Amino acid sequence: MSPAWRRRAYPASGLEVLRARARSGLEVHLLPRPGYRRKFALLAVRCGAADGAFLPAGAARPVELPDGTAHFLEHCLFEDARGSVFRAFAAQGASANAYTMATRTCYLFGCTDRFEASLRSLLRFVGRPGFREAQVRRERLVIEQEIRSGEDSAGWRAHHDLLGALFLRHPVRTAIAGDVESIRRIDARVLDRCYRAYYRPEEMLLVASGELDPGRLLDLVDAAWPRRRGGGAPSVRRLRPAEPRGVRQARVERRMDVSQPYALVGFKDPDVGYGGERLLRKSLEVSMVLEMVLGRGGALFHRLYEAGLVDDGFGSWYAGGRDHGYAVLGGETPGPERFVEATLSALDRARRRGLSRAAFCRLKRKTLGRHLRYSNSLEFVAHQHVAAELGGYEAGRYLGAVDDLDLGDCARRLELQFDESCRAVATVLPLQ
Amino acid sequence: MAEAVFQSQVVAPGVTAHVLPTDRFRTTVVRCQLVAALRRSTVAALGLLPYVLRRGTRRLPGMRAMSHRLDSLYGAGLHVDVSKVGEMQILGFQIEVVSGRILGGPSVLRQGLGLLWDVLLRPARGRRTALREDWVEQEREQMRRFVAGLANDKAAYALRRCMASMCALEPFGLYEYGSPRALARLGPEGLAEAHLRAVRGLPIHVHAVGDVEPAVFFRQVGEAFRVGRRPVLAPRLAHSRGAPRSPRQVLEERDVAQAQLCMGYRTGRPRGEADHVALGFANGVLGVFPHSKLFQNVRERAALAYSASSSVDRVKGVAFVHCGIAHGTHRAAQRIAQRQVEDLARGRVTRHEMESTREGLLQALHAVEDDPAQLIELDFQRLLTGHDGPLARTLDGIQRVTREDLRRVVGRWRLDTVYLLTRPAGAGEASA
Repeated sequence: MSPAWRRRAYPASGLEVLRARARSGLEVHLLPRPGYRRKFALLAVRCGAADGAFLPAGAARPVELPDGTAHFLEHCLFEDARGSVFRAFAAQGASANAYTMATRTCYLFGCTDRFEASLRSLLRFVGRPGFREAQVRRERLVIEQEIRSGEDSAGWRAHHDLLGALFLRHPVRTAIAGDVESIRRIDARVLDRCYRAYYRPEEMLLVASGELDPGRLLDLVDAAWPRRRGGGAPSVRRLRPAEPRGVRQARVERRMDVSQPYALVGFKDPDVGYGGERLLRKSLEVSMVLEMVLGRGGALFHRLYEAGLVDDGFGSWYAGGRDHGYAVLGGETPGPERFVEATLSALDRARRRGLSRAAFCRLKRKTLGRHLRYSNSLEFVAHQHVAAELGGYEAGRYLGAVDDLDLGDCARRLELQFDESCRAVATVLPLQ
Repeated sequence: MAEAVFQSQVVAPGVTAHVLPTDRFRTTVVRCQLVAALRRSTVAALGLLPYVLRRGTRRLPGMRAMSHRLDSLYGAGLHVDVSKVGEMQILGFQIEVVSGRILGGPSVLRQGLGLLWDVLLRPARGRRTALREDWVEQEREQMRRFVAGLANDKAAYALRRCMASMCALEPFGLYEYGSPRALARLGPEGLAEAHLRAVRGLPIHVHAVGDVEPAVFFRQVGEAFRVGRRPVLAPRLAHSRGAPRSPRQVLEERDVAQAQLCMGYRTGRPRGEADHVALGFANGVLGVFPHSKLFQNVRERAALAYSASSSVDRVKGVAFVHCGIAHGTHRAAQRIAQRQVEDLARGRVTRHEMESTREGLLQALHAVEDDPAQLIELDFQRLLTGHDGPLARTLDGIQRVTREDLRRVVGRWRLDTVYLLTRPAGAGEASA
């Protein structure tokens, strides 16, 4: 192996990561998976829906792009002058996709053969913009339909309403794709601005996994992007408004054509402003608390299920990054009022009586095993790796961090995260 | 890599075990499938049964006890499902445990298997009947709401309504979970009887992939199914029926932001394996991949739809074209979609469409080798359709499909039903 690669092994999870920096300045990570037919590559760009406001290097005035610009850009880059980008991947038998989140955009493909040709396509499409107004107009219609199809989903609506209620200023409160109004303000010039601000090697990470040769991988990346790109100029400074404590609205309700109500309870995380292993640890603690109080093995879920107030679709999770976070729980329920009341009083009871050590040990075991189960999938491992790297910790530390979890820390997390002052409830009710 | 081949053995009357030993995965998956004929009189009972059975066993009578056991088996995943293939109803029971090589040793799999057999064969008893009356009642209510909730996912709802209208007089028109009316009539006695008939009389396939010794597994499955099995007959694959002289038109009005257009075709049942492969290929050219005709022409070229896809049931001999579109554009969308099918029937398929589809189908089949559950699913589908020769033959078949083959199989397609879900005429933009 060439000296360019730095190798790190994590025996507990049976994983290995090779890291190198390509000539262009792009960070390239390889997750070897011997014996697998499939290969997978993912290019993550630190440009998400929440990155619309920034200060360009040397500029005095901040730039504010319309909501949905990062997502629009993603749509346009996976297009090109000769037709759809997907055609190029399809011709190689690969399946490609792209998605935008609050703080990143990911371009990816999976295949069993002709990996190198597909990787070249990926780097070509993302590396070479060229926004024409005609294409932008056409893509706008497609995005408008995408926004509308989300509007017909109760779960999507409730989640979006909840974020709008929890957050006062952080851009995570607006929908990733923007809305029909905001995307009308996006044109080729806006896309170009966004691209020039964020699409630089130092804002990107390429992850490849499967049975791949490290030397060939790096050669290919260097051949596709031979020079340092963007002249190594300093990146823009992201402008994120400081999020005050408290929520915008404690309750939000809407009616739509659904067969039964949908309810979500959310808690904005007051403890933010850091990444690294501390972030991993926090998200594990919150997930553990959710699982202990509301999980399938708990008394509350059992009672709600027998009473018909929750179904299999009930879920709870934590999401967030360095500068924002929230815990959500909920799903479809015929009695949103009773459901919300029961979950809140269960959290209250747990706070007063403490968390059970037996449940804690059992759920640690479950979390370990479940993670290993999911690791069968190349995609899962690669996505985990990207989330970890952008969060500032190592994915290979996941199992160790689970092992290190402490019941006392979880109890403190329960106090901190599930506070009434950072709570909001979003419900969707059937039409009358 | 050598082709993955299951070793099979009949281990009890009508019970066949299939094993693929491998150490490539971090888990072992065992899946047990019961094959029933799709019948109006039994569909609801059989559709509900797996959900009652997973609630608890004689040894673990309740969902908390079950959940605690799964957690302590390192987060083992127990999963039940019901599906429809042609005019057969498939009941699936699956357990996935972390490989004993990584965590917990061989007893984890042994205990996981024991739990799977208990779920299927030794349910907790009720006061009056062989099943818990309260669980039957609760699961029936959950199912009733689930079936009513299908209307919430508008795209899936439209497809199901199109299928039901088209095949109203055939078993295929039945929904795999039965109708709300049939559900309402179910009681614990009927369900207990259905359970007994199912475990004694339905054909059963038990697949395992992972850390499994074939001889040991065959013995274990054989012992588990010493339950007074009677010899059984495989259900008939499907009835066939022609399309009406002019296509049925079905219009449904609801308050939706996006309209759904669904077109059902009679394709005729494939005559032999070459036709079987060609029909799957035709579906690929039409609406599976991003390069497929529907996606390219309805979405990309005409920008009419966010989604445009097709599906085919080769056992039944039907195909569906589906588009999520803007209101008021259904005529244009239908015209363009029908045109794509006509082009296929005339053999108007570009080289790019042929070769991309070939590559996509081949790679999808190769990729199955990396996923234990997909390996099982593929093998099971091949057993059901009778095209269960070596995988190499299927791969070879895909290599050899020509435009002429597509012309032959799609030339037999007849449009049967056009279903449109849209908002009531006169409803304005405000409702979106």
